[in-house]
Amino acid sequence: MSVVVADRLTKVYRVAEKAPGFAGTLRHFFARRYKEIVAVKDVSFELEEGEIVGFLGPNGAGKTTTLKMLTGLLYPTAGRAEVLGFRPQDRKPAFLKQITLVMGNKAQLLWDLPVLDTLRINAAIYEIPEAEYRERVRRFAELLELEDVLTQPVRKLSLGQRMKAELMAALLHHPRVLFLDEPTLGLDVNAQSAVRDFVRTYARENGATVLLTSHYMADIEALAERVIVIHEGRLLFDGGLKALLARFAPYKEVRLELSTPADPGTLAGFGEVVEARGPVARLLVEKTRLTEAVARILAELPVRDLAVEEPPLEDAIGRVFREGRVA
Amino acid sequence: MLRKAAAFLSVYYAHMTVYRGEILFWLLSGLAPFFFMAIWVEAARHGLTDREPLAFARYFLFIFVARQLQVVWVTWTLSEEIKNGLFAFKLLQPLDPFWHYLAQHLAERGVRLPMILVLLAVFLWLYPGALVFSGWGPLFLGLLASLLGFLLNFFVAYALGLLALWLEEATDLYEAWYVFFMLFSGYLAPLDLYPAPVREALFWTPFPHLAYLPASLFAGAQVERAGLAFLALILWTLLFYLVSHWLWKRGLKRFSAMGA
Amino acid sequence: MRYLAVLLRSLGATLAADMSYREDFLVALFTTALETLGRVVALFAMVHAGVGLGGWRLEEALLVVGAAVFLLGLHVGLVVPNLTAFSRRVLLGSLDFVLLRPTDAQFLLMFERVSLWGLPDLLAGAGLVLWAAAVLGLGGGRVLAFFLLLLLAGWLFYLLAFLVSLLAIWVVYVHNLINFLANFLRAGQYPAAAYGPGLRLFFTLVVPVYWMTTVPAEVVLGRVGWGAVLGLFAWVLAAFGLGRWLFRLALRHYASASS
Repeated sequence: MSVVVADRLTKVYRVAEKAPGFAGTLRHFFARRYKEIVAVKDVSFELEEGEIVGFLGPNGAGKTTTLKMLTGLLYPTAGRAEVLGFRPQDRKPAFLKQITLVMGNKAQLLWDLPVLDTLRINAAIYEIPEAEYRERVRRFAELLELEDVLTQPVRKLSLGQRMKAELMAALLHHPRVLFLDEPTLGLDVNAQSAVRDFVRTYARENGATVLLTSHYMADIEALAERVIVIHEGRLLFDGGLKALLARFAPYKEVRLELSTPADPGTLAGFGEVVEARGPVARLLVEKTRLTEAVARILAELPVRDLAVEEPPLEDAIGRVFREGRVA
Repeated sequence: MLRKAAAFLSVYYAHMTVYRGEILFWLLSGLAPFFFMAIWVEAARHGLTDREPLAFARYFLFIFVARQLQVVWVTWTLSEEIKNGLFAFKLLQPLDPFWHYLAQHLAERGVRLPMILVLLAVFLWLYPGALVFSGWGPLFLGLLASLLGFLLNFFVAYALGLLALWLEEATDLYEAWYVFFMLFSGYLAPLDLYPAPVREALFWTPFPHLAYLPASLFAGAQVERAGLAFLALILWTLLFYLVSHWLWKRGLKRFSAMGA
Repeated sequence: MRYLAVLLRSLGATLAADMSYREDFLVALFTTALETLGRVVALFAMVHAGVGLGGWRLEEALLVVGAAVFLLGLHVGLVVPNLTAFSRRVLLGSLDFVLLRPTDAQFLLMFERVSLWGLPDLLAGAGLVLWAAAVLGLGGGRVLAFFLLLLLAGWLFYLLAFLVSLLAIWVVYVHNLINFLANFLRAGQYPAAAYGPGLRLFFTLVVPVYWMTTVPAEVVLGRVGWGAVLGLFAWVLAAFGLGRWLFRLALRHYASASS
């Protein structure tokens, strides 16, 4: 049985529109105009137990809205959500005790108090036995290297420490389903890596199901084997990461180091120019035309060094959004 | 259950202790009864009223205490949390969010109490005859009335805070409640100075029982129909509890339709 | 001239922001109407029950009530939004943005924003004043003088609030502190003579509520000579001078601290 079911989820908002300037202000005050915004349309997918799935999309694509519908924070305008056999919007305590939602830009930790105080309240709310609680805190603190930090007020912590502590608080009750919304937002490389490792370890040890949104490709690459791509509220792709790349980004990246800089116009004749800075250039070339392009580059340009690599995921996904449709 | 209560209260107490500066100034903002006291005492000194200046001093002192025990701010907190999306976190917990706010208020009372006592001490020094101890019975009853008054205020404020889901700013409605409170609870003047028919009509509103009842009990004055007054207070508290509960159910649907 | 432009531009922006809360504004109007009615009824009740108000007639006292409510409007509309923003800036460390502008920092901090929520009280206070003036038969010139004096009193209150905020701003989030100060405005809704001699002295020399609400009424009613206005002026000058000096001191302290 699937752990998470999204069945034709749709969410439509009504938003008041305000024109700029003083006239606009007056009209907005006396005769408001409304606009309908379709945030999510007909999104369907299912997650099995233990899967870690990446949820990709540009800002405003509907990722957060979908997560909120799956956690019961939003009621779908149409369609159905089911998690662990529950209807999220019923907000049954049995359901709430088994899930967690982490939002990258918002904190549930009490700001002026040490982390431990928030953890204590959470332990009481989720009815975690005292011994269990202590063990879990110890284990998580060890994994996240937060041992010395737990007694400091949250506002004194760095962003990385805060996020790690946030994760601790969110996972303290050992939820079976994790909804992570941009958990590594704004973190430095070390902190990002620590968060990823922690999520992976936790999921493995507890058999948890994870739905993770991010626009850092490194997160997706590190954690997820399956990705769901959403764009302008619609599902664009649902499958393996490699399949995604094969379908949308059948490219290889050619890195060139030239003895004299070539102008972008010339470079464009060989492939799509990603970057051209002085003697260094990066081009995207279709795999089918790779050999031919490389041969021509070597023949026509003063090449000092040439390397062929997988393109960064960002670029690949970026193309998906620019094209905006499934095949 | 007890464990939850203990955890909530101890953590929120620590939380409120961090804000003791703000709490102190808030307490000082509640000095209005002392201003009214000054006016009435002055009038009494000129013999314009029917009682002693000291009686007025005593009355307003206990009005101050009763009011301080009943202060609530959950309207603001709820509105803020709904607006900035932090309310979502409370919704994700397997617990009615109302317990968080209640625990916070009770904890704050714990921080405020020593400050009230210090103020009482200062007042005693200025007006030595004013503070009376009328016995444990009246003290207990006064505290009970204050507790009920607190719960009533809390449920009203909570209900109004929930209105932030429909209106964007519901805190002004609480101001309206406060105006009625000021006029009809004996905050401005002892209620027995109000004409009898007015007093009679007011008896079945919650207001007189919020301030006049506990203050009179503390002062050891004879409160007519005290039993009925308590009953009225209990009924009103229950009513507003039900109203806030109903609003909560409706509000949840509304919140989930509009999102955060 | 530039200051005027800055003033209008930023006031306009914050006003537009407030106006998007349409239903709430109507609620605020309703609540203020109720509150003001409550104040008048309270005054009535007190006089009826025997309070002498120090020899003031009911209609005369209404002038003082109107003055206090008008000042409360200025408080909610100007003092609260600006000083709480100031406090928040200090808390978050974003005071630098203000200090880097080529305009007087104190002016920017004090007049950066205006809140629509002050309007109901302003209207209610003005209404009360006009009503009382009509009943008392005061001429247009006196009414104008009254409002001018009120604006001066409002400025005094703001300067004092600013001063007090400066003293506390690095320690406390000043929102409740400012509320505490507004309390004195509410005390000012009764003529100072209604309070005992101790408080009267306090309101004259320590917290100048007497000068803010009672003096304008006294002057306009002819109870005191126009010389009393000099007292108000003196207070304004003192508050302005002290505030400016403290502000410079504070900035120097702020700039020399790191982070």
